[in-house]
Amino acid sequence: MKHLLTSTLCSLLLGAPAMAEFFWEDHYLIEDITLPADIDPQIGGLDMNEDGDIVACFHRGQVMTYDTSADKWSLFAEGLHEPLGIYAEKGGTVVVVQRPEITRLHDTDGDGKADFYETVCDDWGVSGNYHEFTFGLEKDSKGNFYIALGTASNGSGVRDEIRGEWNDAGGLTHDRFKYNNAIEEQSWASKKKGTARMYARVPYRGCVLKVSPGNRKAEVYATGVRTPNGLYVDEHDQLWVSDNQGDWVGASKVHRIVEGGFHGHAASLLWDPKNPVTDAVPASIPPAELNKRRTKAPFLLPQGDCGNSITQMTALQPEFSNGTAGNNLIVGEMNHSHLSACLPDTVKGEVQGAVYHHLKTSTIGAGNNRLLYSPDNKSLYIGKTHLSWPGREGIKKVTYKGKPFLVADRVQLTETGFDITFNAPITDIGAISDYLIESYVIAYYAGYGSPKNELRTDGITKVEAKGNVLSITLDKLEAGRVYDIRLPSSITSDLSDIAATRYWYTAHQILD
Amino acid sequence: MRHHLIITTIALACVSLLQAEPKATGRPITIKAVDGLQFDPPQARMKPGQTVLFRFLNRDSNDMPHNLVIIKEGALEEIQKASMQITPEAIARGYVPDHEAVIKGSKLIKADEGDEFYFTAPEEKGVYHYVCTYPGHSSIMYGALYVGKGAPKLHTDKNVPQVVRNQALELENAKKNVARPFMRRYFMTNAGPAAIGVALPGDQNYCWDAGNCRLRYAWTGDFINYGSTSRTNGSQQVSPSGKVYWTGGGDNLTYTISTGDDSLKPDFKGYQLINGTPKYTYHFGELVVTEFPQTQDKALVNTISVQNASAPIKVYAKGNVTSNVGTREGDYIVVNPADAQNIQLTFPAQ
Repeated sequence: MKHLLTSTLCSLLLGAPAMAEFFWEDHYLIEDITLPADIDPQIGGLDMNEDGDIVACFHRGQVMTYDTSADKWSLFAEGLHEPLGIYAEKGGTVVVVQRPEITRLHDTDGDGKADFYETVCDDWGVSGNYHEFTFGLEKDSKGNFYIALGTASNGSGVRDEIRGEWNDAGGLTHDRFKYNNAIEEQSWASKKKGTARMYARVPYRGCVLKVSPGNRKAEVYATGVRTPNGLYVDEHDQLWVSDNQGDWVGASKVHRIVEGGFHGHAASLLWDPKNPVTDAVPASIPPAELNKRRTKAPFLLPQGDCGNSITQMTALQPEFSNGTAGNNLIVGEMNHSHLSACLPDTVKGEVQGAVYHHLKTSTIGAGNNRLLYSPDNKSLYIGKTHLSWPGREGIKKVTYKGKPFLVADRVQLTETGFDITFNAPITDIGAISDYLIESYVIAYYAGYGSPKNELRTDGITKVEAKGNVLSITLDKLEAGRVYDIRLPSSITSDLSDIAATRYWYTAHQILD
Repeated sequence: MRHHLIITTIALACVSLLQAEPKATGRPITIKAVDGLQFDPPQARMKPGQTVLFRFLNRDSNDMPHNLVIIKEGALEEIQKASMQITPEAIARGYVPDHEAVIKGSKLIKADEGDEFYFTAPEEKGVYHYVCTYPGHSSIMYGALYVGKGAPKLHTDKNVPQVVRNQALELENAKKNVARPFMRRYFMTNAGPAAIGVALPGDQNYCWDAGNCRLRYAWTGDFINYGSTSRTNGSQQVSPSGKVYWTGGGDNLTYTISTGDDSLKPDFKGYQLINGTPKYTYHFGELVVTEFPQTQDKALVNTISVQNASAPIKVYAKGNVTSNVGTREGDYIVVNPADAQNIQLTFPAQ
């Protein structure tokens, strides 16, 4: 009824044929999961145990299990320090990552509550700075755990008593960062001017860590992350890590982690196991020099348009998205009411690709921190948080209703433009003038976020539909740009009208 | 003619001065914007028709701008909606919505700055709200202004955001002691960043540091002071609510056990909960150590067990701590290997 009205209005107003329109909620049911009344309902981690119960960890340190069929929560553990990741193991143990350690929770007496909190690994530094979040928790097929350590923010200083040895490379001593130093009677506000935006002065901040089974020592697996609030190990044991826009991070991004790789944020280079920075403030190293070491992220999500603070990733399951099975990802978003799908493409051996907004509807809400599928992959649970930033609370359950819709499975760079492959043959693709492609360069530098440098509107010379594939030809392509591709909403199919009309393709490489 | 003009100008200037500083009929009210998109305090009280100086201070450590807008009763939802508009006009007004329900609005204030204005409460008794209308903040960043009415206890106040109610509830629960023993991990004052706070029966509380594996301090009475607002980004260090009667001193290289080998560091293995009370385990070189602080006869007793000791060990026991075994040597008790499996240190609360 609502659609009919809107369509009629459109026709009346425009005096033209009804514009195609797509409503995500025609295809997805979005519900709230009831949470216990006496809990701060901010979610740090979601997983599912062998019994099919959801295991969730909360901002105030509780771990609770949720029997989905009985709609009943029960407390499993409590008293943890800002847990931001959880992994339910076979046999009933639950592993959580909290600020100071990875902890395995055992229920040894079988009364349904953990009674042994085993410290699996606490081999990293903690300065007491609030922004040093510990993110995780993922496990690969060999039983290795991966976590990622947030850098400290110059929004505040560090404590007098810290864990781990302070690294004073470049002359930045611990004293310069103590913000409650009574002797100097200096407020942090006056001290912060002398510090980089984000810093990593205790061990392994800004690094991705690997903890192998039985090993109490953490291994620096990769460097160069800033606020890596999302880890995902795919079925090929490839680790993906998301990062948030800020200094050295021109746009929020999804990293494909390379063992030993440097992924761009300078601060953690103090902890590079092979080639550490020992005599300089990393943020003062020329970007051109750092760029030579850098592994670029396959997906950039430009601020405001595409992504703000992105969060956890998981596979974009075909049962949930009605697309074709592939290596596509879906990633959460804190500041806006949508999730984002990432469609990888490989060009000259380098993975890069396109991002579009999946489930862009106000009912989803912001604060989408953690993602978990139901056993049949048809429902996605979204755990929300804000931790004082914009966001929301609670858990949403989003269920695919089974009514197919038209969605892009792949966006591939061609020698002359882009091929967008849909899950059905498309029609009504419109004229060239219905398309808009802009491209720009995201800067790599010490500043906070990047403007759209060298912004231009690209010339389109041809658009063509061949079955499921929409081919767009440009007058030229240039490497090192993000292409913001806007398609007409008239594109339709037997399934439905087009679900997403805007794609951001990160073209580190082009074909010659 | 000219004199008249001057006199008129002076008179007008006086009038505008008087308008700028109306006579306050009540004490100033200070409201801070703090971390976690919250106002501190989340409740304020005024008498109908009373005029007070409002001081609004932005103390948000996340560098976020905020304002404080006082609105009519029952208009919260409308103002929350209206505050989502990001138009050039809204920006020019410092995001104070152009809405008839707005009674008074501060300027948009950067972190570490403030604004002051006089505000006269409406004559009508009621529950008014103060809201930050910076886009995206109003859904959780508001407080309740009770005019001519008593405010309910914070944890039951439906006029404050749920997150504020929840924090207040946690504080209430901690105060009640109903659930002792229990434990919480936060950044705690006078301890390392891997601290553990424990509330034991009999109003005993202690802080045990998982970084250097030792008891840091002990107190009686209420558990932890979460502050007037809990900073949800985690930057806050919490501190004991009750009376601290024992402090271990030392630094982060001071450990419970000393063997004379300065290269040894404790390796924390975790804790068991025995009827809810944590018993900690760590390795110290070859030594396997457990510590189990409990309430015994109203005192705090830490039972320490050291396995694999082959030579005398020293146990840190600064101050008026007594031991069931060994002999005191400065801040330490020296214990023979044979006695090391059951060392009971008693921390008498005076």
